[in-house]
Amino acid sequence: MSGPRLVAWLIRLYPAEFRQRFGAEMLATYLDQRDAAPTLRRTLATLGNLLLSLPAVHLEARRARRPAHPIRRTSSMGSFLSELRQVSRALAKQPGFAAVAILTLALGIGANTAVFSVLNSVVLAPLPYDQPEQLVRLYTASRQEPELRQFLTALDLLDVREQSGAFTDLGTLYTYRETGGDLTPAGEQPRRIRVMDVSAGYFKALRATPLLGRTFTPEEEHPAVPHLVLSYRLWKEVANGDPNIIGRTIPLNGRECEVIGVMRPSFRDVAGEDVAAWLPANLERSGSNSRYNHYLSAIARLKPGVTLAQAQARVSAVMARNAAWFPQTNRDRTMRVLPLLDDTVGESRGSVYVLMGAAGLVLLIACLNVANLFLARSLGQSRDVAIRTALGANRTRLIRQRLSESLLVAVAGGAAGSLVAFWGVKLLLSVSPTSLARAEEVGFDPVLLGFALATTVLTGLLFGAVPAWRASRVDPTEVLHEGARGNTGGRGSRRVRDVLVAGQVAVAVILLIGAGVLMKSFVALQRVELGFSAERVETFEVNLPAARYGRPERRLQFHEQFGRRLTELPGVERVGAVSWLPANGNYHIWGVEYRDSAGAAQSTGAQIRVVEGDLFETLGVPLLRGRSFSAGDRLDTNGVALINQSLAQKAYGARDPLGEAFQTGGRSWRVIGVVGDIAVEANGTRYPQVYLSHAQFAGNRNWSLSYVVRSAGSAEAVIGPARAALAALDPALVLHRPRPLDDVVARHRARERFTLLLMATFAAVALSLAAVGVYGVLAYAVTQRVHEIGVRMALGARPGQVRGAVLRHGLLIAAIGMGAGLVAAVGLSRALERLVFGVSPRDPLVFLTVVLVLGAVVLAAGYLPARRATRVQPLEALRGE
Amino acid sequence: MSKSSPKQFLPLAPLDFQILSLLAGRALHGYGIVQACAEAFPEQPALEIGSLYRIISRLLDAGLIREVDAPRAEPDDRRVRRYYTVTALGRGVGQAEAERLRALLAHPATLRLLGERR
Repeated sequence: MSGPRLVAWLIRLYPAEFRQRFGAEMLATYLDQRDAAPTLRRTLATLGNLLLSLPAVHLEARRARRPAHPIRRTSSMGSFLSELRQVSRALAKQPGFAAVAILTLALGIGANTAVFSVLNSVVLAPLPYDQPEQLVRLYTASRQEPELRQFLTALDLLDVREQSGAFTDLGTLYTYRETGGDLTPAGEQPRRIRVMDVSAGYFKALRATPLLGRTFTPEEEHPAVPHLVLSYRLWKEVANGDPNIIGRTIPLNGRECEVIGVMRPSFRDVAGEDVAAWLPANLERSGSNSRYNHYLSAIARLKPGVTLAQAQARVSAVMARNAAWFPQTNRDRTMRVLPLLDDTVGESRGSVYVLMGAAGLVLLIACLNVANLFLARSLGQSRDVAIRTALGANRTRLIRQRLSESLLVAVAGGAAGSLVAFWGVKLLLSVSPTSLARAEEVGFDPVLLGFALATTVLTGLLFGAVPAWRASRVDPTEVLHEGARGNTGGRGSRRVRDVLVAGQVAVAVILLIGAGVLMKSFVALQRVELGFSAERVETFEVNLPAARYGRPERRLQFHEQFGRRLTELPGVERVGAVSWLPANGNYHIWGVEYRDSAGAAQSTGAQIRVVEGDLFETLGVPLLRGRSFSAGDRLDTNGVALINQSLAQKAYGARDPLGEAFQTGGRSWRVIGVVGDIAVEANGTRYPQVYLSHAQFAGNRNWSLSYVVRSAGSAEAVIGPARAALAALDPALVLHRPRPLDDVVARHRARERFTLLLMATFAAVALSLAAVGVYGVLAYAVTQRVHEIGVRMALGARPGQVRGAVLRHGLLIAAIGMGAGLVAAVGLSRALERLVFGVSPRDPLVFLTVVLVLGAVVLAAGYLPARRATRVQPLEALRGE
Repeated sequence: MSKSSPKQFLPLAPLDFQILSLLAGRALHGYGIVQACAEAFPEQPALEIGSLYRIISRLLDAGLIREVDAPRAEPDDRRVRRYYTVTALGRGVGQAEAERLRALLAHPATLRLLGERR
């Protein structure tokens, strides 16, 4: 951000009347000044002055609004103002002190507010729906694994909707697939949008009414009803916001769909902001819906007066009845009712809470630092104060002066902290993973400015109160008796400062350990063996709309042709396609029935992938046994399958799986080969998998395929030629979401990277603040003990001994702080348990490293004061008396 | 404010007095005041806009200065420049403050203080 924009931003913080009168002029004057001397110092001086004048102008504006006290200077506000002036002048005389204090506070408050903004929007803020506490999400689980969150069958949902009586409305969503639709508007480039199949109750449960037209009715819950509800954004984009859109048709997936409604701009789909249109869900009790077919997600609104527990009980009653009636499918099946909010935030909750705690610690360390600074300052001034008290100065006035001083610093720190927070939120969002739930709703909240200011004022009063109280209680004679030797502040206050610094070290230890553990975990994650090579591999998705590619032969022919054309592109080495990219999460978990060595029927879950072309060669996945698919495996030949090593071991153990037959998806398949495991998640998790040839599978279902293309050069270079090749075959098809395979993996590690980045930043801030604290305390101790050091050196102490004494002091403080920090870190390690991968949150190596790093930093921070101590000239030190 | 007597504004804050005295000579805009201050009191830190406009606001409200039309053409760079000059009351207050300071400086105690520095 440039100087003028910063200045303008600060001017915006001034009272409205003042701003309107002078804002433009102030900016003009600043610009004139800057034109004359375009230096950073110029701008910084202006910014600092704007910040420092801010509280006074606000107070004056308030006084102007209350004309009841027209007399100048005699009103308490007037004297407060003159006091503020006095105080700011005193602070300006020690710019170093003010700068360090304000900067420290700005960092603490800024980091805290920024992270709190995210937390506020992600976790604390209600969902953007009416009475969100009544909204729940439904999941399938089982008696054996009651914590599962699996997809639901339409039939179970219909039973619950009709029989439970727990909900006013129940809506289904088809989130299972990354449901997309190809939009082919006349005369425009075709593109793919995110479309959600929803039932009639979906919008009703969310109490979302359309802007135009209507939403779906239960009569439309049938397959292939070509009715469409548009999001506000899509309506603006494809129909230019045409108010007469209702009743018109839009070509989607090769089908003319009639627009029946347009949602309001404020409406946000549960599945995400990017859902652009909605189609009616198929909830028929026949056809593709069966008690085997788990593919739906569902939300519902509790009836008024029905609690979550009651709803769960009623749903369980329906499911228990189903278990009795349909034992074959439902014997062990249960359904869970969870609050929608908990579910939406989901996994990011853990890391957000940890970050919130870390930000709180940074604020704590900042406050400790500032308290320390103020304490040192008050000790330095206590002689002055004592003299003034002795001369009859008003004690309350002295305390008040102290308080306004700390308040002033706190307000300036708060204002600077708001700036840090403002940018912090932007920064957080720019580096935050898309997977951070609801991140699109995060913004700098004006309420949080209030939060920052409240923190500030509280901090100000807190660290202002102690030194002020101390200063007022000092017995003048005592201080003056200590003579010109200067005030050492007494043992007590020195100890307070030592404790404060030890506290900083302790907090820094906690944060450093947190960052260290996360870093080690992230490194472990990076190193994890995924079972495939993503190097120079580009991916994109191609979907064949059912309306134009209804016949299996057509789909087959298309993919074979397209694959061949891709292979012929310059630089392309290998081309394959798969129904779901590797390391992209669990998908299509189907039941597999096989025979064990005794010939008994067994079943297990396996993830089904459909393969086209040279998938395994492109990804560098080894074929361990048997053969891969060949041109002879066609629609009309017997079904053949490859299985991965995990499934081979699980189902067949030491036996040779080649030639074995198993059933899945209602067909029988024969194992022709075994391939190496490919991770299904970016953290390396393996799962039994079955690979079916697209050539055989395409007869059954029409799944979109993700192409993987390995090039000799950069992965992205292939996108343009591939798009042209696709258009040459069928100009209405979309080359969807082109991205390197590396990015697919990285996307799933984004949350970890994000958490680590923030934690590392916090730890760095904490470490620097702790170093500043140690340095401050030791440097101060040396100045205060110049006399004593002088005497020692006069008596023959060697420089090494003097240096050692100072460093020992620093190390003692650090050791106490580290001890406390290590104990606290062990206690807090549980919070990290769910966030780390492949490392214990109590990793001894991390603990040891942190101790060494902090020890080194403390020694470095103590070195300068220690060296200064050895430079003390005994004679001068003694003469100083 | 019409019946204000100059005395009730005394003593003036030092910067208020400086700006008032500069504006008694000629009409100046914000940056003009900054420049004039820098010329007249080179050892002082530069006047910053936060402080400057607080003072301008205060002097305007007290009726000691007023806004006037630009005495000469300004470059047309869309920067807002308003010119200020003292009012009759402002001139009176400035003179009263100057008198007060003169009396203060002429006092034997002050002179002794100045004498000690040599």
